Parts: sequence; structure tokens; C-alpha cells
Amino acid sequence: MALNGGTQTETLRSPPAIQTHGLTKSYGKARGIVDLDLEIPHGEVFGYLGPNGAGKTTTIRLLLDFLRPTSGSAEVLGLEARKNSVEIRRQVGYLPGELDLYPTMTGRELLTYFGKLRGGVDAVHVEELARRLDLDLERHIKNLSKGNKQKVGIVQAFMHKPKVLILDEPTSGLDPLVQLEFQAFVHEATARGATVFLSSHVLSEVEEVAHRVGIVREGRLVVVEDVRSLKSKALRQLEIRFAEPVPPDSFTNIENVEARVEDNVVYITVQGSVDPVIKAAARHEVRDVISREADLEEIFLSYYREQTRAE
Amino acid sequence: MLSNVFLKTLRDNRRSWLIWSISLTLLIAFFMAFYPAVAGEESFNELTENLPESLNALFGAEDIASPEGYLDSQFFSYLGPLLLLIFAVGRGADAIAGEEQRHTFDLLMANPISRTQVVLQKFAAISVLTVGLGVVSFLVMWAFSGPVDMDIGAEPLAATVLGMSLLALLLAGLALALSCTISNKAVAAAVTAGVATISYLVSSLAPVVDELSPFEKATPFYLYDGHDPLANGFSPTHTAVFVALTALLVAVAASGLKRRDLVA
Repeated sequence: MALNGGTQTETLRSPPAIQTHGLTKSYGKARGIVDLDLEIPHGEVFGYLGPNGAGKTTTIRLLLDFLRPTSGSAEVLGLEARKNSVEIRRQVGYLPGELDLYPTMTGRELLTYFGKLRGGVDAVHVEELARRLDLDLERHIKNLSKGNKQKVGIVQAFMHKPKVLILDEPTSGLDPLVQLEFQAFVHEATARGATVFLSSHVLSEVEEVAHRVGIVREGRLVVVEDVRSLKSKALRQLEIRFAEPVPPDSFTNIENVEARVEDNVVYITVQGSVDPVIKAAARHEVRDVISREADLEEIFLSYYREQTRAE
Repeated sequence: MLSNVFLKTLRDNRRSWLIWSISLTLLIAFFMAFYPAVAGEESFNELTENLPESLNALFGAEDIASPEGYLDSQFFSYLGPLLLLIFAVGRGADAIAGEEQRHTFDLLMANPISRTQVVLQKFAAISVLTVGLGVVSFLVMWAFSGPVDMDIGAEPLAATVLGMSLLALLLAGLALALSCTISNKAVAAAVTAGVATISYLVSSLAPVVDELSPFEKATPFYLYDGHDPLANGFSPTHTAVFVALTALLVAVAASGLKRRDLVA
């Protein structure tokens, strides 16, 4: 990807958009984040993946100085998270994972308030963002659905054209069309040079927009990888129903495929491309195909499997 | 009204403040209207003379047939401070910890504004609202004093109302300091209510309970009515101590909030 070549020289000129060194936050017994080293270059969309409770929100709240690290440090745009938090927040657009807005305000009032706290934002731009998300700004927030509240949250994160966007589970509660529009927001932000840090507990939410993905598990960053190579390692599970029973050995000789045949149904686990499986299946009459993407746990496992094989 | 945290806080309170103002107005109008029935009636004083000294001390009923005694017994010694305390302490405890409990604080703090600024602006708004209720109380009492033929000076009345507002703000400062330090609105309000109750009892009973008299001057209530403002007017010393202590508590609040993790 051209991005990696570009970022090498970028790092020499200016500090990364987001950087952490040994960032650790422990809260008594509860899991926080342990010894996190991250480096996210300018212009990158970074997907921060992990199951709920893995430490994603903790990381984000450390970057914004809502939490104070137990040890280690974080920098955003070269500014120290503890010392220059106000300046960092001036340059950052943030969408919290658990979004709660002032219920008695209308969407427009809330955006006006936050816009004023930022020293004024372009009202035309705000209207445009709301229009694209099909968001009615006149309604009181207490009367908005979860999805519509999320839209207000998205508009306030993008409205001041921030240099860095930190978005915690941004598309939760959004219908697919709005998710597409959100992806367009992300592309437009990176097109003007912004960096996007996007957390999620599902790969599919970030794979369309992210360049790289980091996976955090039980407070530790286990892997940072290019989205495409991660997906190539990902396992996909297929269930194919045929019109009539297929020979038990129909899928056994394909590379990276494990198959179990039961009468006219085949259960398949495939790593990487599903193309050979589909071609093999096409030799018989197919009634139905159910495809399920590997969840994160399976991606970890395949990642570890890869590691062990390499050693 | 949405330019900053100060104005937003005023705006958030506009309805409740109006309701409080109307309620205070009705309450004050009610007891003021009964003043002519009590004025100069020595029999009322005989009534209170027969009560135990400690009860009179608690409820401030000494010479209820005089303008000062009447206002004191009806409003200034108990009900007025209590109401203003409820208003101000509730808002002090809620200012930061309430936003945290309602999960709105993260998003507010995502804006380029320091925690100290938020604390200062919110407390400034609570001050304006509380003193505003004091001003309403003063205006209603002052407006009624003529028609009911109550001989009370504007200056001592204003001084007493100011002291009552400052008392409420001092304890609001305590509630704010506690809630910014421990981030629990209910505990902050409860502890403040406890401190207020104890100091009220100490300052009221000190004249009749010898064991309490050494502590009398250490209570916020002494700063409010120890110099008998309704009779003697404004006390620069007491006002200065009020302001200094409140400023100290707000500083404690700001530093407490600055040090800790925000609750999501």
C-alpha cells in the first residue's frame, strides 16, 4: 500500500497523529490496558478492534485525558495528552461509545453549544452533515431514536473538521444506508489529511474504511496488521445446502479448507479466499449458502496458528 | 444562551428557578400578610415565653411581635436558609457528578475547555441563581413591608438576605468540592446536609447549651446570623469570611476534579 511508503517520510517530518509508549491503566481488579505501544501516522484510518471490555474505551479515554495513565504516556499530534489536553481536544473530534446527550436540548441547540465551545463552527457545514444523515435538528434529543442520537454524535464529531477523529463504536445503531454515509464522512476526512481512530468489536464495521487494524484482547494489543492481510488470515465459515447428498470427498482436497459433509449439507471452514470452495460447490445443485465471517476470537486463533507455523 | 458553560447552566435552570421564585414569593406573601395580626400583640410573646428556652432558640422565636422577630421566626432563622440551601446544595452536588452520572460529561469535556473552567463557570451560574432567589425574597418582603405596616429598613433586610444567600453558596461549595473529589452526587449532598444540620443545631443551641458555646463561632450559621443582621445590618467581616471560605471550597473542587479520572 502506498500509504506505508508515504508514512515513512511523514514520520521524519512530523510526529505521528497518535502515539503511545507503554501506556498502562489499571483499575484495581478490573481490566484496563497494559503496556500499549501504538503509532498511527497522519492520514491513516486505524481500526481498533477487540471484544467488549478488552480496553478499547479505556485507551480512547486516556488519549483524551479523561483518564490518567498508571504508567506510560500518550501523544496526539505531538502534544502530550496530560499537559496539552485542551489543545488536543481543539483538534480532535470525538464520538463516545456510550452516547448520552442533554435530553432537553434539540439537536441544533446541542450542536450550537458545542460549536460555541469550540469558538464557532461553519453552520452551513453542520446543516450539510445533518442533511446527509437525514437528521432532523429541530427535535428534542429525548424524542430521538438511538440511531438518530448517534447521528447527532457523528455530526458533532465531524462538524469542526478536526485533524484527528476518535470514534468509539461509531456505527452502532445506524442502519446500513447511514453507515455508508458515515463511511463517506471518513473518506472525506482522510482526503483532507485527517487521521481516524475507529474502535469496534466487529471486523466488518471497520474493514471497509480502515487501512490498518490493531486487535486488543484482555488489555493487550496482540496484533497490528494491514486490513487485507488480516482478512486473508481470517477464517470464514460456510454452510452449503445442496439439492441432494454430495460425495464426502468433494471438498477435501482444497487448500486451506476444512470440510465436514453430512448428507446434502456441507460445513466448511476456509482461510482466505472462498473462490475454490464456491467453484467446487458449483459442480452440484446448490440450494442455499450461509456464510458467517469469523469473529475476532477466531481471527486471533488463526493469527496465533500462523505465528506457530512460522516458528 | 449557549455561548459557554456559564450561560448554558443558567439556561438549564431557567424553568426550575422560575418555579422556585414563584414559590418563595407566595410563601413570603403569605406570612407577610399575617403580620398585622401579630404586630404589637404582647400575648404572642407570652406564648413563646412559656416555651422552653431551647425550643425558642431553635426556632428563633423571641420577640415575634416585632418586625425583626417576626421575619426571623417566619423565615430567616429556619425556612429561608433551608430552602436556599436545598436549591444551592442540590445544584452544587449535581454540577459535575450529576453530568458524570448521566454520562454527558465525556462529550462536554471533548470540547477544548479545561476542567477548572467548567467548575468555575458552573459555580458562577449557581451563585447567580442563588443570589437571584435572595433578591426575589428581598423584593417581596420589601414590597409587602409598606402595606402591612412593617417598620423594617431596606439595608438590614438586604444584608440578611445576602448573608442567607452566601450561607447557601458556602454549603453549595462544600457539596461541589465533595462531588468533584469523590464523584458521587448523593454522598456529596448527604454529607453536606449533615454538616448543615449539625452546624444549624450547634449555632442555635449554643446560647442555651454551655458545652456547645465554644463551637458556635465555627459554624456557617454564625457567619450568617451571629451578628444579628436584621438588627445590625451588613457585616463586612462576615461577608469576607463567607467569600473566602467559598472560594477555598471551589478551589478544592477544581483541584479535586483535575486530579481524578472522569467517570464515564
